[in-house]
Amino acid sequence: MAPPSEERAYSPPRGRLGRARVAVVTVIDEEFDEVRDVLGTHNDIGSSPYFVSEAPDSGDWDVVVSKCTDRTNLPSGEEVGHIIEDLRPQVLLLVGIAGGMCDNGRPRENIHLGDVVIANTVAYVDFLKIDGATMFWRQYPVDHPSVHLGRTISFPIQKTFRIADAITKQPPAAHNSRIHIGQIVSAEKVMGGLNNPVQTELLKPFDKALAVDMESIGMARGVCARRTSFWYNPLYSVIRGISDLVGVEGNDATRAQWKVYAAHAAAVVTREFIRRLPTTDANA
Amino acid sequence: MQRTPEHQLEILRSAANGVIASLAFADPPFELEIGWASDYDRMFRGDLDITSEGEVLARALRQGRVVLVGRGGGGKTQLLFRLMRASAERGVLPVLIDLKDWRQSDYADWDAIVSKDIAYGSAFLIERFARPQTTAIDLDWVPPTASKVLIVDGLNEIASSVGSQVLRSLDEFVRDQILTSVIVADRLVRRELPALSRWALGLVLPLSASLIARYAGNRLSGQTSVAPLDLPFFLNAAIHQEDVSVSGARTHERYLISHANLTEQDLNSAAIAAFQAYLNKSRSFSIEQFRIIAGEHVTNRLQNSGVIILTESGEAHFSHHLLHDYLASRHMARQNQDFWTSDNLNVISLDQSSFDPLALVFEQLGQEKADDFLRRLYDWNLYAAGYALSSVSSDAVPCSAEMRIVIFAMLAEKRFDLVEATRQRANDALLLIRLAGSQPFKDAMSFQQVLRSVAAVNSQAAWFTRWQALFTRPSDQNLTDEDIQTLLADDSVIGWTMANVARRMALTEEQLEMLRNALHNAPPTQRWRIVHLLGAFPSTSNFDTLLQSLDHDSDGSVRYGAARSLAELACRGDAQLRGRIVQAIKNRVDDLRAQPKVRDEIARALVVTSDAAPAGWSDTVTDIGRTFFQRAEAPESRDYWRRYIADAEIRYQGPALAGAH
Repeated sequence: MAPPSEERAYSPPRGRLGRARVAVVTVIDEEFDEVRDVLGTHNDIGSSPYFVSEAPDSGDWDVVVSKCTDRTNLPSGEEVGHIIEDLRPQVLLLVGIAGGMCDNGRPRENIHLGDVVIANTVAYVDFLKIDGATMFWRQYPVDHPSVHLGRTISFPIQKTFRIADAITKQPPAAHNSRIHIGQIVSAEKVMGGLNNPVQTELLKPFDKALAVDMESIGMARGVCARRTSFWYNPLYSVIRGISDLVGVEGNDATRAQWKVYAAHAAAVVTREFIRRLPTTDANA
Repeated sequence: MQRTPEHQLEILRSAANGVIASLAFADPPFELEIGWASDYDRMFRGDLDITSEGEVLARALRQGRVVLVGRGGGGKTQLLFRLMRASAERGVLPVLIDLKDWRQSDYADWDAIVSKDIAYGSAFLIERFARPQTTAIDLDWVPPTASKVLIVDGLNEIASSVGSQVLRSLDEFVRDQILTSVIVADRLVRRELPALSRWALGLVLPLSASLIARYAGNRLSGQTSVAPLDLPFFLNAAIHQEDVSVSGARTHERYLISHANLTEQDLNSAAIAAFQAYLNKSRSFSIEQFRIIAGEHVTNRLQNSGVIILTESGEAHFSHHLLHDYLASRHMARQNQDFWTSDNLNVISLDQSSFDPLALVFEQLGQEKADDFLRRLYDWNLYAAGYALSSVSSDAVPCSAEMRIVIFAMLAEKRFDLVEATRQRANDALLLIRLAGSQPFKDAMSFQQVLRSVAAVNSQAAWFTRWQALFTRPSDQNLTDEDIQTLLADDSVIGWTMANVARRMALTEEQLEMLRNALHNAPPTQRWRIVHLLGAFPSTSNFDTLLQSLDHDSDGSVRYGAARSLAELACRGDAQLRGRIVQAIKNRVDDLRAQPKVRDEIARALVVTSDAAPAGWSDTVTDIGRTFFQRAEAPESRDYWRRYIADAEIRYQGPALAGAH
């Protein structure tokens, strides 16, 4: 038995299937396909929803890509729980598309279709409980995106990564994608679609948010809820390509046109994000 | 935290070994076979992948979660003991959570804890029940390379709704904790397991004839096919007493007479005390209270023989819950029908958590009383009647063949109900019954086939032929005033059958008016039948009446029935009536939150089969669900309604990802 004063170190913990350094969570098919192509994760870990670039039976993977069973925050939170149980990734990334926030029809901070937003905080419309005409503030325990990753990776990427050079897909209209860092607000489908008046009303208090999605708070709750062991300290970030502008007429058609490109742009930023993470792989 | 993780692990391992050394392992051990199924449907159908019990630990470590279901006396507790030992031998830290120690006061503590977050429940379970004694945070402090397994017994000893919460809480715990798994023993019942694909579902199989012969040798020659010898509890008793009975109840009786040296009169005294002990809705009880009722010498003999065990906390419990069940059932079986009230049936079943005591009552009755008992069960809970029939073998059925057909047919009719949950439950109950004559009712592809199976039964029993004629009555016949009186009959089987038959017929407005008026003076059971019937006839008057019952009826079952019928009216009615019902339910969301049973029934009843759902039904269900969601406070509750709404959209619209972000 070791004396109390002796120092010791353990490797990062393993999940039921093994261990991954990074887990990338996607939601819709286009997101999953773009991420898988850009990261080269084409091998399915048998009897699981996870895709890797290494041998499926390795048990120790660098990057694992998965897809939620459905959109919205509940499935994304559940997916995060499953990934953590199975693989104990050190970093989780929620990657895909989002709607750009507008004020009176004008995109905030000149955000443009095809740009990429990396979240520095996440907010949630469901923090507002409606009772008749009154709104009440409610809170759930959540983790925000890692400040450490924000400082050491997101910020440098924004300043130095030439995203336009890395993108290999043609945008639907001429545009050089840029990277923004800001708040992403999660809407909730249970309250109606993003064009629903109730939803529009609920989004009003979040006047600084750059983008809106339906899964970020699932990641935020999932990571917070699963940070329950002395031995495990997961970090996460959210990377979203802008596929449409919220509240602008015809945004369903715009999304249909831009979602593949927006997902591709987000995947490209994700690849760079992962490249800058520390790794134990000597060949990396 | 003063201990190093290694030291912490060493201490817990040593304590676990101490716990294992203290467990009372049966001799012989009756090694079991496990039938694995990917879901409850397959399990109830018997579509199983059979392995030895050695597979349980392997699956738990691989998959994280195992639930082992089986009948009382099936050897689950002994299996868990062996799994404790096997885990320790394999270097996995085992922790026994024995919910048999659950006390009445634990319900309030539990409610207070999980009302914040279901995940909080596991810390309570570990701190309160774990052997070795430990806490969730101490378990986490062992090195992250150490595997741990929680072994949970007695889930069927606590209220069913709490049992489901315990499963959800354990599910969260093993997701969060590194290299931690859970094995839970449960009764033979469908549970809403969280993320079912993450659970390995194992059925503890009855002992085969060859295994019985192997364990019993020639001591029981010629009797190896006798039920309930295929259950280890009874085989063990038979081997050690060299005495066997075709009835579980009789075996318990002989055991208590020979082992605790009790007379028939002593047993009757103990039976009253055992029944009274269940008033606490717990397997634990005060020995002093028991002594007052059962008497000094009876209590002493039960204690001295080890049948009643005193815990360190001063609470008492029986060495096996089946012995407690038997004694309580003996008391109920000795009473006449007046005693078989809903209240007393709730007491003996621990609020419908365990139907084993009811099956034991059933076994002890002669044919006439057994038929009456099934009628009472039917009035209280049809599925309990099904369970009683599923617990006996074909050569030892106490009730008449006709009564069996009645229960089969009533269950089979519900297989074609418009509510999904009702269909599923009826299917489950029928699939568990192995009695001759049940197969056509399990196999029927339509309600017409059920009617034909009932019509084909030959019987001389006058009551049965009357019921048979009633059940198979063509739906194009008119309802008579005499039929209305039949519906209000004291005889539950005739009354409920009439209600169900009337639902298939065309009723005049005058007849419906007569029934609505009867609600003012009828006793609760009859009121329940009436509101059940009104659900089949969409009209504004019926809507108003059902709403009145929902709001003001003094009886919970009637409010429950009214809630279901309102959902049914919404499904059967036109858009205008549906809109009024939706609005009425939405207006009552706050009131319904105080009546969870009624609220849950509305939620369940709204989930009708896809072919029964009218156009726009998804909007109806989601509109109501959204209102509950908006008024819910706890994250757990909000998540429940989110999931409910999403499931309804998928069920009635199909998965649609268009417009997703």
